[in-house]
This record gives sequence, C-alpha cells and structure tokens, in this order.
Amino acid sequence: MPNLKIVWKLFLTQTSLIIISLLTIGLYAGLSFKEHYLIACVVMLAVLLAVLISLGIGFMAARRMGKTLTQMTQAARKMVRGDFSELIRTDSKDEIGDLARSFNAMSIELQNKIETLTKEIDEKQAILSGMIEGVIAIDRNQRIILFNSASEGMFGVSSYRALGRFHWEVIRHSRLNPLFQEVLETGVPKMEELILRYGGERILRVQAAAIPTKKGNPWAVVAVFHDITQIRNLEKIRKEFVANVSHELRTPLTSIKGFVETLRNGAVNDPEKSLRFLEIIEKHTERLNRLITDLLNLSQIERGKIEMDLKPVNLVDVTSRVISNFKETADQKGQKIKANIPPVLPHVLADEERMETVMENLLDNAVKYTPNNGEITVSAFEKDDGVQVEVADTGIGIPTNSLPRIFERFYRVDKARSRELGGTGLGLSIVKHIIETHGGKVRAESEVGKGSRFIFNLPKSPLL
Amino acid sequence: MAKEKILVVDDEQDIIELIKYNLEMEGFRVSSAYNGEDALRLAKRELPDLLILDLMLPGMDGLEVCQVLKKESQTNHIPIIMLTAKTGEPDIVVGLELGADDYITKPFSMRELVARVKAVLRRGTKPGDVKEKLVFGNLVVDSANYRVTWKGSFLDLTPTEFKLFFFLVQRQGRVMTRQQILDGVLGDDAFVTDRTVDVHIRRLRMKLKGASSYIVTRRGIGYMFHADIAKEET
Ligand SMILES: Nc1ncnc2c1ncn2[C@@H]1O[C@H](COP(=O)(O)OP(=O)(O)O)[C@@H](O)[C@H]1O
Ligand SMILES: [Mg+2]
Repeated sequence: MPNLKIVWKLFLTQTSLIIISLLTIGLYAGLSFKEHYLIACVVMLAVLLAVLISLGIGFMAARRMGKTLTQMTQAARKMVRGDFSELIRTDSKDEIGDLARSFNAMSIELQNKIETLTKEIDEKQAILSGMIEGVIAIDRNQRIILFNSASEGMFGVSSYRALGRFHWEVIRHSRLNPLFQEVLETGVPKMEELILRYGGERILRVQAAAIPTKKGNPWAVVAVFHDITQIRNLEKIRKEFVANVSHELRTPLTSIKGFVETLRNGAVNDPEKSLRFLEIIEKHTERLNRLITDLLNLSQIERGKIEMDLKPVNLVDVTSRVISNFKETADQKGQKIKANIPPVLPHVLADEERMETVMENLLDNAVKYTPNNGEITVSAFEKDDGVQVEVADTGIGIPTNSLPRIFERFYRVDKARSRELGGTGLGLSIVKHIIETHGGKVRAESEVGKGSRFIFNLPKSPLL
Repeated sequence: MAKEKILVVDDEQDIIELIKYNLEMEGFRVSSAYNGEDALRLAKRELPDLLILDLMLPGMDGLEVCQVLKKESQTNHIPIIMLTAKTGEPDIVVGLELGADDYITKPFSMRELVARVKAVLRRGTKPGDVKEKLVFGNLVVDSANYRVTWKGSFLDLTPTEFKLFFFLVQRQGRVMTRQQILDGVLGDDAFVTDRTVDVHIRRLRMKLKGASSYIVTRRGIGYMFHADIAKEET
C-alpha cells in the first residue's frame, strides 16, 4: 500500500519538527532542566496523541482516496476500450471527491462526443455506400483511403482488399493512374472519360479533385465515377438511326434526281425509255412517301402513352376489318386469308387506330413474304390474363440468325427484296413499339421455306 | 478507239440502271454487280478501267472490296470512285486511305458523276508515267526546276509550297485526305495537325492566283488537283 508510506513519512517529519522547535524555544527562554523536562514530556505526549489521531485519520483518508483512485484507473481503462458505463461513486467533499466528479462529467461528455461522431461517420458511410457513383479517395502517398461499394462493383475489387494499397495495385488503368497522380501534384481538378474493360465495356466519367490542407497543398484526392455507358449507348443508337434515316431517304432521292436529269438530258425523246424511267421515279416517290409516313408514326408512338387514345377495344372488329382490306391484294396473288376468330373476345384497353396499324403491318408482311397461292391464317383467342392474336403464313420464312433482329428499326433479311416490295424496314419496329406501350408482348417464330408466325398478347381491359 | 470499261457496283438495281444508261450514252462500256463478292470476281476477270463502288453492300461491303482490290497487284491500279449515301463519314476517309481515288455522295447529279469519271480516267491509270514537265492549259509545272508558271509568268512558291502543289498535281483526279497530305508532304514538321494542312493550302492558293481553282476542296475530307476544273465550272 503506497499511501501508508506517505502517511508514515508525514508523521516522522511532523514529530521531529515539533521536538526541534520546542527545544529551541526552551533554550532561548532559559528554563531549568526540570521544567524543561516536564514541558518536553507533556509536549511529547501531546504530540504522540496528535500523531496517533492524525495517523488514524490519515490512514482512513488514504484508504478512501486509494479506493477512489483505483476506481478511476479502472474506469479510464474501460474508457480506452470504448466502455463509458462506469461512473465513480463518491460522496466526499474534498479534492478527491471533486476530481472524481470531474472525471464522471468528462466521461459523460466524451461519450456524447464519440456518439455524435460515430453517428456522423455512419451517416456518411451510408451515403457513400448508397451512391450509384463510385467514390475513391487516395492519400498523399497515393494509397487508397476510401473505396465505396459502387466502386467495388465498377472495378470488381472489394474495399477490404483496396484500402491501404496503392491505386495502381488495385486498378490498373493507363488513364486513371496518371490522372490521380496529376491531380495530387497540381491540385487542379480534372474530368475525363475512361473506357473500362472489366465485365463488358463500360464508359465512366471521372471527376477528380484534390482536398487541400490548411496550408493549401493537397493531402488527398477524391475521385467520383459516373457510369455513362447507357447514355453513350443511347446517343450511339440515336446517331445510327439518324444515319440510317438519311441513307434511306437518299437512296430513293438518288433515283428520282438521277432519272429526272437523265430524261431532261435527252432520254425524254425515247418514248420507251421515258416510260420506264417515269415508272421508276414514281416507284421511288411512293417509297419516300411510305418512309416519311412510317417515320412520323414511329416518332408519334415513341412519345409514348400520353398521345394514346385508350379505350376498350374489340379486337374481333379490328382484325376482321383489316383482313377485308387485304382481301384484294391476297386474291391477286391467289392467296387465301383464313380467320380463326371467336365471335366474342374480351375487350382490351387500347388505341384502336394503333391496333389497326399493328394488324396492317403484320398482314402486309404475311402477304408480301408469301409466294403466290400461299395461305395466311389470322387467329385470336382468350388467354388467362388477356388476348392473344397470331398471324401465320406459309411464306419464305426467316433465317434463325435474323429472327432476333427483325424487330429492329431498318433491319431486313434481304434489303433489295424488301425494297422491291416497297418495304421501309420499319413495320415490325412499329408493331413492337405499339404492343409494348400497351403493356403487351410480341414475338416471331419461323422456319425458312415453311412460313412464319407472329404472335402478340395484350392484357384484358381492366374496365370490363 | 474502244471506250473504257467501267464496273458499277450497287445493291440498288435502279441506281445501276441509272448509271449504266448515262455512262453508255457517253460511250463507255459498262458491266455491273449487286454485291461485293460478284464485284471482286468481275473486277479480277474483266480488269475494268474504273470501278464505281457503293460502300453499303449486303455481305462483303464496299470498303472490303476496295481493300482486296488494292492489295492485289493484278487489280491495284484500277481507279475506284466510291458511292455513299452518308456525308462526312469516316468511311470515306478510310476508303481514300485504302487507295480509292474519289467519292461521290448520294443523291448526285449525273453530270457530276460523268465529270468525276472522266477526271479519274484522264490521268494515266498505269503507274510510272510521271513527266518532268506537266502542262494543263495555261499552267505549267516543271518538277525538274521546281517551277510553276501561270499564263507565262513565274509563280513564287516556297519549297514546301511547291512540294505540296506537286504532290497534288502528281495525283491529279485523286482526292487526298488531310492525313495523306500530312504524311506525304509535311510529315517532318513536328507540330502538324489537320488544321495545318488547311493553312498551307490556303497560302498556296493565294500564291497560285488564277490557277488556284485547280485545287478542289472536298469539305471535311481533303483536297484534289482537278485538271479539267476550268472547263467544267460553269
Ligand atoms: N411474314 C414474314 N415472312 C418472312 N419474313 C418476314 C415476315 N415479316 C417480316 N419479315 C422480315 O422482317 C423484315 C422486317 O420487316 P418490316 O419491319 O415489316 O420491314 P419491311 O418494310 O421490310 O417489311 C422484313 O424485311 C423481312 O425480311
Ligand atoms: Mg413490313
């Protein structure tokens, strides 16, 4: 017990001081030895008594102090481990009591501070990991200090493996690694587009900025990665579409312009040639006209549901009407159109005009791509959740490798043939668009030389 | 003299008929193909004097045909005029760098096409007929003495300007892309870009004065020396 030692030292110094002082006082006062002796004895006694009493008090105080100190040590040790549950119990009014109470206050204060901080960190962590953007930070030594979960997905590395390592160890990229370095050195923020080959080609836009210290030199770089693959792909599709449209428009225009010029340059004097060239011009004018109509249709449908005139539609009426419109063309080719349609069908919620467009396009193809004397069958029936319509033919069919592509805009199995037959390559893409904006599905089955079957489903009208 | 034989390749029958009719009226002999494979076969068999080649063909496309023909010694001298429905496409540049001579975008005028055909045929198709002194009407290019005279008076060109002009003159009737000009004339210069070519051409044209119209600009693509230009500009 170290505190007992203190008490003992205290007592010794105290006693010896008193004796020395008494002796000194006595000598100066010129007392006799006897008197001296008596006083000395009394004083000694008193001192002894005092010492005994103070020793007792001191011992008790020391014991209490020691207990409090031990408690405080223990509590402090727990605090280091993050446990703030222990408070020091004390009711003494002395310095030790004060100390214990300040200790308690400090402990509570610390606990609050730490809780607030932890909460803040947790919130930031949650935000970072909830972000779809990848966030990566590196420190001054180019080691990764932050790697959120979106970057885990983008770069295929877990944050556990990335943290603490050099960025070039974790992500090897000819543009990204120099970018980190440059921003760290210059402190100037930078934006760049990167192509990433991990897990299929992705296009990322990275924005990197330095975080400066108070003195202004960078101590870290934070990079935010946006995946812009989809935006770029859409742009690409748009560009391709525009290029395709321009090509499709230029081709008939070339014939029209060329033959008009040819006629003017003298061919007009050759009656036989004139007639032929005029027929060609007429054919291409019609083709241009169809193309423009289809393009307008397509752009209207692409504007989506807003422009649709949705009503409960009876598909029995629509199909019969369209079939009768095609009777004449089919007759000319010696083709039969059979209708396999029940007298009543559940209504579907649809834009009637657009449903007609769908049937027209499917029948037009069936008639076009079926040789003379072939057969076309239109069937419709109720399904558990809607209505199914099928247009089947005994025509030329579609090769298996083309089948997945026929609904693409401008895709044709045989371009020259489609053009000769007056096609635009847009019919099926219009069909698909219309069916899908109605919440339905369309697909095709085919066998080359045997025939094709186009099938679409539409959900029942919820109103009936 | 038997007129030159021209092979026309396009997947549009009507366009073939159109070109064929017009070229035949001009006295050319014309054969045709609807796809790349047939085009290659015919080109090798008939060795035409010129190929008019649509770039967008089913199956083997026009650029591939161009590449194959330019690789084989038997056919690599046959000049090619590309037909394309797209303007400013990288395809045109690729085609020219593969060795095609010129291009024309749809829709084109027949007069324009016939003029291009004649311009390409006008320059010798056989290699190695570079003369020291080339005369185009009032324009004389003397490669032995690095001199150009226009209407009898000497034009003051720097060595680079002469080199640039002579490069185009030697390849008359062929469109040269900016990159080809860079590589062929200005390649040693360290800081050259496509813009540099435009700047050089502009300076050259200023010095050529009246003869500047011999250099034709193909917007977004490159430049060519056109010997007949004075006659055709109406
Ligand atoms: N019933 C069918 N039989 C065979 N091929 C078909 C049929 N319907 C469509 N196709 C193929 O799908 C292509 C795309 O059809 P579509 O979009 O309607 O364009 P097109 O204007 O050429 O008819 C057609 O060019 C054709 O090759
Ligand atoms: Mg169609």
